[in-house]
Amino acid sequence: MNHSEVKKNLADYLEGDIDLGARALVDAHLDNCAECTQEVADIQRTIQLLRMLPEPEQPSMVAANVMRRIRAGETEPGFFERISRVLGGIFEPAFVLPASAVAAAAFVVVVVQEPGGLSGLLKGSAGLNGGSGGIALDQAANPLPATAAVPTPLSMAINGISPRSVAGSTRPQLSPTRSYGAPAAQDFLAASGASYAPRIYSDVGINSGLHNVRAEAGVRAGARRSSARNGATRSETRVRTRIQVDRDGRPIATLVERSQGGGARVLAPSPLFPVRGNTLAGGAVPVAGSVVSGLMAQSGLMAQSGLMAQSGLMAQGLVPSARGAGTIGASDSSSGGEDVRDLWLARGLEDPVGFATFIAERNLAEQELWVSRLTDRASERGILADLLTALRASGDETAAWVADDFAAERER
Amino acid sequence: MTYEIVERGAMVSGTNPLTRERNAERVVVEDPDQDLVQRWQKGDDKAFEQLIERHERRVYRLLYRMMGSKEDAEDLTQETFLSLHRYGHRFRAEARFSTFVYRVAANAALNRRRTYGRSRARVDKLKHRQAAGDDLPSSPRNPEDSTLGAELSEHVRTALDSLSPSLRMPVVLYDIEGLAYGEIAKVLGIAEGTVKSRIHRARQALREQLKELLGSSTAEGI
Repeated sequence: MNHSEVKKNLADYLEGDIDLGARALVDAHLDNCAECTQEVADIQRTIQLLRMLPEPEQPSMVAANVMRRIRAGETEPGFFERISRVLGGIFEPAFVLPASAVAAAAFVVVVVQEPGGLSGLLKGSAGLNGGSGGIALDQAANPLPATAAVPTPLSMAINGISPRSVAGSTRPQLSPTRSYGAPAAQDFLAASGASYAPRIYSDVGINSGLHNVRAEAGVRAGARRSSARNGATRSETRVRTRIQVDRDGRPIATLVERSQGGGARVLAPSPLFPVRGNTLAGGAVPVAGSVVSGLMAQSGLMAQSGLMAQSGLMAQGLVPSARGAGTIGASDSSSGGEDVRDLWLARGLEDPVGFATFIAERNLAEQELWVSRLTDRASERGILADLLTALRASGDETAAWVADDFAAERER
Repeated sequence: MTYEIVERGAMVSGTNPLTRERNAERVVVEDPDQDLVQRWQKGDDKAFEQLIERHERRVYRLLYRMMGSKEDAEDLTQETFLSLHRYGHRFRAEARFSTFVYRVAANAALNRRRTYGRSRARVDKLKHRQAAGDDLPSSPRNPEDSTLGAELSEHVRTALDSLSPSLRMPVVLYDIEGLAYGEIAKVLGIAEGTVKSRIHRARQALREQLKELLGSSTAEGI
């Protein structure tokens, strides 16, 4: 047994969790290797020191104090707890769930009403663009309406769109393929339909009982067209981009929902719950964090939403970007074209320390899930070795042990 | 009757005096808290009080090791039992009650540490003081410190405190509290293999932290 094999077996050796043959080999190596012998001795002494830590002085009256607080009604179920009991286990108790699995959510909502432009846009052309590193818009697949109503001054102020540029033929033209980043957010609204009366709204709700924090903020663009007057049937398409964050406001994932006629689909969810296959006829649409960021910055929502502003959600840049996805390749037939795990892997390659820190800050159960899901995906894409190299080369301690976790998962 | 498979086992013969017997084989044992839990779930608060008395010591010990502060540990101990009382009707006896209690306590500790901002400022401060040599008491602060000696205890505590919670929790549960891998896996909701690797990693990190101490402790016969 060589040096590295012995090192690998030392944990089992120390626990006696090793068969006699292997133990004999380790013993033989230890007889001739001062370094390993020292390591075994040090760890044994470390364990001994831990065991010899003095027993802390026990506080008195714990039971009496707890019972007094119980009698005072501190454990009486609150409103939401009563509801959950009635619903019988639909909700898990907060302490059973991993802490951040009871995730808070911040929502950024963009609601666009238009007859066909947006749906065409989403169905026909949006997707990861591996070459340019962005989500592409294809003008041909998104014919702009022939006529356009004049948007309200408010909408123009919010979106920074000049009346001239929106109305009629002077509407800004989209290039066949362009980055779908923050600057494109204006075009996103402009190209989706001709007439909008965007309204900014935000809603932050906190339910401390269930450790849920919900924040909703967004821009709503509603038609000012007189559809009732001319009798036209209103066809409404809603696109909702949801940034899911944990209770500390750190983003976990970006989700996209699109609904038409009341139905809603969730797309591009967290890597903890990867979607296999397309749930939307036109294709899944991972939305770049920069789009949301751009919208929020333009509309001043960053300042309005206390939660988002406080958490520095956008400033941290933790929302995986479409650019990152482009770096590692765009499509995957097994997952219907996009897999949000790719975004996180891209983040790992681009910013290994931030990526590792993010994972390390999950609770243990979630760390396990993240590592498991992302290892699977990285192996599928053949980039696991690159990821490990990036993590280890960063020189960061946390990144190094996250790399170890990925390596251990691969071996398993 | 509810039974549960827990990891126990016979002593593994070997050269290592620290070899644990608990991970060697599986035996079936009855949950010793079963009767009390059933009585409590039927509304007998006296039974719950008895459960507190039975488990408060180990809960406090775990929380003290995790938090490094008696005030936090005591506060969280109470919170742990209040949470148990609040949500305990959902305990289904699929695991031992003690495992369930540990799980609640572990989550309480991890959550509290998060609220402390994840910053390592406190640890850094301790390290700084340690480097300056002004954090070491010249005599034991109280009788409990006499087991290891105040100075040694302080070093070990500081080293333990420097570990991330994800490494500290498994090593505390295993090396100090004496839980088996399987039980720790249930408490933390992670695989046994991960528990094992984290314990090893934590020990390596502690060894690094205590390097100087380990050298001198040999001379002291520890």
